Amino acid sequence: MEYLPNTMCVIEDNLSIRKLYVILIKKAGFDVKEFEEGIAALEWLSHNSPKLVVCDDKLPDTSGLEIIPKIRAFAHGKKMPVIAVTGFAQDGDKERYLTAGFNGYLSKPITTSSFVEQIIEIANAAQ
Amino acid sequence: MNMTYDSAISASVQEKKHSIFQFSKTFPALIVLIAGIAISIFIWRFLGNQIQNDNRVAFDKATTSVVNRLESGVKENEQILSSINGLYANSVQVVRDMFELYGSIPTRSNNALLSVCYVPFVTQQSKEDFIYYAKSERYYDYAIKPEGNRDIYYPIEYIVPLEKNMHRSGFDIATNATAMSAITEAKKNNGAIVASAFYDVRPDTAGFLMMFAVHKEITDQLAAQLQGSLIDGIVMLELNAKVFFERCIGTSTPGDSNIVYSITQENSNKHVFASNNFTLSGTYSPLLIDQRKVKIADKELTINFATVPNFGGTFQAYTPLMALIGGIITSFVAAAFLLSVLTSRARAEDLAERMTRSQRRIVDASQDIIAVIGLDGKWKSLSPAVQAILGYSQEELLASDFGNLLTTDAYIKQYNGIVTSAKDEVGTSFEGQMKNKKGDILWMSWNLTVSRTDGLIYAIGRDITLQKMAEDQIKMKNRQVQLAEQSALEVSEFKSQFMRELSHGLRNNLTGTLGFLQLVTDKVYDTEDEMQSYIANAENSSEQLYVMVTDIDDVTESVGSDVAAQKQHFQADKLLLSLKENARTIKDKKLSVVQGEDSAPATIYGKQQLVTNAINELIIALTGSMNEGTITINTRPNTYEKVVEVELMVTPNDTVAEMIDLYKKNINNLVDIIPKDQNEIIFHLGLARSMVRRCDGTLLVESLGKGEPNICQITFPMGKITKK
Repeated sequence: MEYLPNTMCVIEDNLSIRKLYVILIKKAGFDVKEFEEGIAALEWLSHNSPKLVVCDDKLPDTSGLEIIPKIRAFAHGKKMPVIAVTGFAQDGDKERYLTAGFNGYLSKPITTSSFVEQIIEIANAAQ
Repeated sequence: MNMTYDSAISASVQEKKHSIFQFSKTFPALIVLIAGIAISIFIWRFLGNQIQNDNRVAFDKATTSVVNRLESGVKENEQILSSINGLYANSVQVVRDMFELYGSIPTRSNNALLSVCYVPFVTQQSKEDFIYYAKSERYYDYAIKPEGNRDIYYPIEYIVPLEKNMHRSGFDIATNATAMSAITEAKKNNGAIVASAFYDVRPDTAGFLMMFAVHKEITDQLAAQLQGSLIDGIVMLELNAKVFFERCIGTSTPGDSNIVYSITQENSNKHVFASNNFTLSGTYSPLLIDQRKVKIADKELTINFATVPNFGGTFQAYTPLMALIGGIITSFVAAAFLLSVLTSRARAEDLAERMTRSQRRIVDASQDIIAVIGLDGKWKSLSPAVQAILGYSQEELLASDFGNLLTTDAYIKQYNGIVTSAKDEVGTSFEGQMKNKKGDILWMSWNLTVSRTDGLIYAIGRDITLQKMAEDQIKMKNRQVQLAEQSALEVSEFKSQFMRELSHGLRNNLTGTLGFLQLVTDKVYDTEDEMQSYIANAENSSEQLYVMVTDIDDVTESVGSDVAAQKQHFQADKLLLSLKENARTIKDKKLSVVQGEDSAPATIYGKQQLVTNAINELIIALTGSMNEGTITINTRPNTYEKVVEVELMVTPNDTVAEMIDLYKKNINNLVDIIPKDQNEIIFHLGLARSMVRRCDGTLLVESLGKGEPNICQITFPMGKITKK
């Protein structure tokens, strides 16, 4: 397992949004490992420990809610900061994600000027 | 005439009383009364006679006892005289010593005997010779007393006991008229014993004489001439009357206490003796009286007997009357009791009759059928309501079979099962359809009480057709409501899902558009090309947004997702297992669920309970009223369309096929065709369809025609096979 403290993992199926995340994270000085599908991301995460993981819920092959227990199942995944960034923003959604094991929750659309700060803050709080 | 309720009741009570006390019903009591009184009178008379007879016997016994004792006393003295008479008859001359020898013994033993005397007949001429002779018999101072010259003398010569009667020696008894009268009679009776009347034999002693004459030894011719006047003398007994009677009858016997008596002599009312209680005489009216005659030699005594007061006792005297009164009272009591019993029975019969009549009226008036059925199922009796309900007359149904009216063999089987398993004398119920005489089908509810002791079933049948129709109507409405609710639920879920997906889509696309536009606005770019790429990405996101808005239906259908928490991935074979364990139709009927040969492992994504319910509803619909059959389930994945196909194939059933056709023709109007639904097939198909759609699935139901299986094809979203 490789520890990557300067790398953030992005799991997002929407290309435009994924690009936006990559731009924002890189401009903040971090490396980005991006995934369109969840299964591939899980495979990578099983061997790597990034600074944090930004995860959409609705993915082509799985969902964020299915991924999070599997990440927590890894020995190094128990304290891995994983933030749900999703378009589901109805009443109760935030609690549902936090209960499922996510360290934080951000609803779309995001505020680009503060997005990286927000996820870092959540990651720091988690650790 | 107007009659009030009270007057009607009063009239009814009067009629009832009259009816109860009718002579025809109560005459036994009168007979008992008359018979009781007659018996009482008979007992009264019988007891009276019996007591009277007993009293008479006791009285006669007492009087006879007195008479016998008196006669015995007389006989005793007559025997003394007879003994002395024998002496004179056998002796030429009886001298003093001989006389005293014979006379001393009775005087010692008989205290009533004052003396035994020999009184010779002496004339004036033979007076001196007689005195001389008396003195020669050692009566040295002998003299006739009282002195004086008389033509004839009867002086006492021998007297025993002499010591007590010395003063009587020489006393001429001819000087007493009563004694002389007796002597005259003795002389006439030729040696027979005679008695004198009662008189004062001594100056202070009342008494009487008993005597016989000692005649001279002369020829018969001479005796005839002298007419018995020639006698030597008289042998006589002087008796103290009081001591004589006391000796004879003075000693009381038990019977003497019951009687009062007095003794009078002939031609005289003077009492010569009386019982000690004679003083009571005249103070009461004796119950019995009697008069008996007793002879002392030739003299007759009269004894007047009477019963003592309270003879026989007071209780005995009143016994017949008490028996009569007791008998009459008993007769009245018995008659009253019998009357009470008869009227009670009459009242009970009257009440029973009224009750029977009332019950008959209730039975006749009942709108329900009140019937008796044999354990063999044959009608035994029926109330008139059968005509109104089933159209048959009582006579038409009697002896026919109850099961003949039931519409199906299933009802007959059900009825027989209920009767067989019913507890004795415990009510049970049976509902079934019966055909009336016109052939119409009625719903009948029967309350059955099986009495195995009587070998009968007591049944009350009610026409519940209208109730059943109402229930069916309610059930139908409920089914319509349920179907509508299911549809509404389905629509509601679709709406929620759509709004959720729409929100998600908008937020996603807005994230790209707004995010890149913010980068441009915030000038987060280093080159013009970079800015242009941001703008291009924003336009791209806007384009996606536009596509989503313009093709919103596609978005809705393509999303095909739900709230993740309510859905899960599960193996299709779990569905089969769940159906085998839980499907209510399979539990109740002989239906077998088998997995088809074309089945392959598949994972369904959806709400497992909802999927299970949908399949269950489909099985209910496709099996209809079938009690047995086979349901074959095939599950297989369709990876191309990303769905799991579930196929149900059910044993042929015409009704189900018919309903499937109706369902398909009215697929968009199921609520309205529910009234035409049979065995709730369309209703369950409708429910299943709605549930399948809520699971993001599709449902296709097909009937392959009569005699062919009915098939149902469902698709559910495919889930992911979990890697272990």
